[in-house]
Amino acid sequence: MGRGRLRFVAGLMLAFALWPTCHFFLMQHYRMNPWKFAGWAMYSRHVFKPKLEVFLLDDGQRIELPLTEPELREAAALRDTFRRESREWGLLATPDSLVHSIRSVFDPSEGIEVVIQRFTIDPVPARVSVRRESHFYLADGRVVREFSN
Amino acid sequence: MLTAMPVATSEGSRVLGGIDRWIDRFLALAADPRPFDRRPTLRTFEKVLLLHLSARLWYGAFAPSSISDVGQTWMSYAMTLCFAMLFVKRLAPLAIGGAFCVMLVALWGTFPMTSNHLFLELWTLLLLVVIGGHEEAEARVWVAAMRWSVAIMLFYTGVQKVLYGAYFSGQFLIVEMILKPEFSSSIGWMLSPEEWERLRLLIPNIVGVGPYKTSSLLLLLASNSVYLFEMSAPVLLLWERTRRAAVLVVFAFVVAIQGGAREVFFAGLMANLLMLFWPANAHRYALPVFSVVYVVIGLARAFYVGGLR
Repeated sequence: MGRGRLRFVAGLMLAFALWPTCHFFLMQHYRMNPWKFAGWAMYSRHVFKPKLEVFLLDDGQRIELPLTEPELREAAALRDTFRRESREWGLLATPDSLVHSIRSVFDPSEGIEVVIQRFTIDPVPARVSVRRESHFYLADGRVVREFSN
Repeated sequence: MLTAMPVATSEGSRVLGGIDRWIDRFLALAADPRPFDRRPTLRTFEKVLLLHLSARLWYGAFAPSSISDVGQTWMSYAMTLCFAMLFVKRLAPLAIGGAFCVMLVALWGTFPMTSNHLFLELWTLLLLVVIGGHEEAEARVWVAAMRWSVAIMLFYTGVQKVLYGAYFSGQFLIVEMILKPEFSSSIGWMLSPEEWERLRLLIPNIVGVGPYKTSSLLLLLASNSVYLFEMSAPVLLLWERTRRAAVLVVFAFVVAIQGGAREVFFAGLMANLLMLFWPANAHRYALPVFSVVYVVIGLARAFYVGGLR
C-alpha cells in the first residue's frame, strides 16, 4: 500500500476523531440537534419538537395567526417544514419562505413575528425549561432576530 | 533556486518521514499481535455489511426520507445486486463502490434527519473504498483503521454524555422511561414502585416540570456506568490482553442498550464491527449466522414485533 494513500487514510481518521469535538460546540452554539450530524451524541440529551407561533404586527397589535385558513395552506405546510428543519438545524434554519408565503396573503402594517420555543431539560435542576427565539420581519424590510438564553 | 530545492525537499521529506512514523505507530496500536492474512476476514465482513444494508433497505428501516417508495425499492435492488456481486472476486471493488453510491443517495434522501447508524455505515464503506484490501498489507491497515474508528466512536458516545450532563442524576434514563414504555419495561424495575408512580406523571411538556431525579442507588449506578463504560471500553478493546473479553462485554452492552431501544440493525452492525477486534478470524461462520438473524428480524417485523429499527 502506497505511502500517499496511507497518509490520506490517516487524514480521514484525524477528521473522524476531531469532528465530534467540533460537533459539540456547533450544536451548543447553534442549538442544533446533537442526535444528528455524526457527532455520536445520540442518547445524550432529549430534543423535543419546538413550538412555533406566528404573529401579525399590525397597528400596535400583536395578533396570533393560526394558519388554518384555506388561503394559508401553503404557509401551514411551510410552517411544518420549518419546524422540522429548526429542530435539526437550530438557529441556522430561518423562516424566510414561511414569512414570504404569509406576506402574499396578509400585509400587516408593522411586520410579522415568528416565535420558536425550544423545550429542553436543564441538567442542573433537572426540570423542563424553554429557550425562545423571535424573528421579526419588519415592514421596512429589516429582519431582527432575538434569542433568549 | 536550484540549490534551494533539494534543501526544501529534504526538509519536507523529514517532516513526511516523521508523519509516517506516527501513522505507523498509530496503526500498530490497533494491529494484531501476531499478524496473519486478514483478507478472508475482510471479504466476509464486506458480505455481512452489504447483507445488513440490503436488509435495512428492504425493511425500510431508515429515518424519514424524501426518496419515494419506488426510489427506495430501486435502492434495495441495487444494494442486493452489490451484495451478489461480492461473490465474484473481481467484481468486489465495483460492488463496494456501488454500495457506497447507494448509501450516498440514502444520505441525500434523509439529510438532515440522517441517523448516526447511516453515517457509520457510510464511513465503513468509505474506508473499504479508499483502502481496498486486495493485498495482505491493505487488509491489515483496513482492520486497524476500522478498530480505531469503532474505538473513537464508542469513546465519544461516552464523552458526549458527560458534556451534556444528563446522566449524572439519572435524568436521561428517567425521561426515556416516561416517554417510551419499552424502555420502562427493561429498566423500570430499578425504581421503587412509589418513585416510579411519582416520576411517570412528570410528562415533560410544561416548563418547570420535574425534577427528573432519583434516589434509587441502582438506577444512579446504571446511569453513571453507561458513560464510564463507553469511555473505558475503547481502551480495553485496543489493548491486546483485554481484547477478547472486551469484545464479549461490549457486545453484551450493545445488545442490552439496543434491546431497550429496539434498534436491532445497529446491534447487527456493531456485532460485525466488534468481531474485527477478535484476534483470530471470527468472521469464518458470520455470513450464515447473520443471514439467519436478518431473516428472523424480517419475520419479526412482519408478523410480531412492531417498531424494530
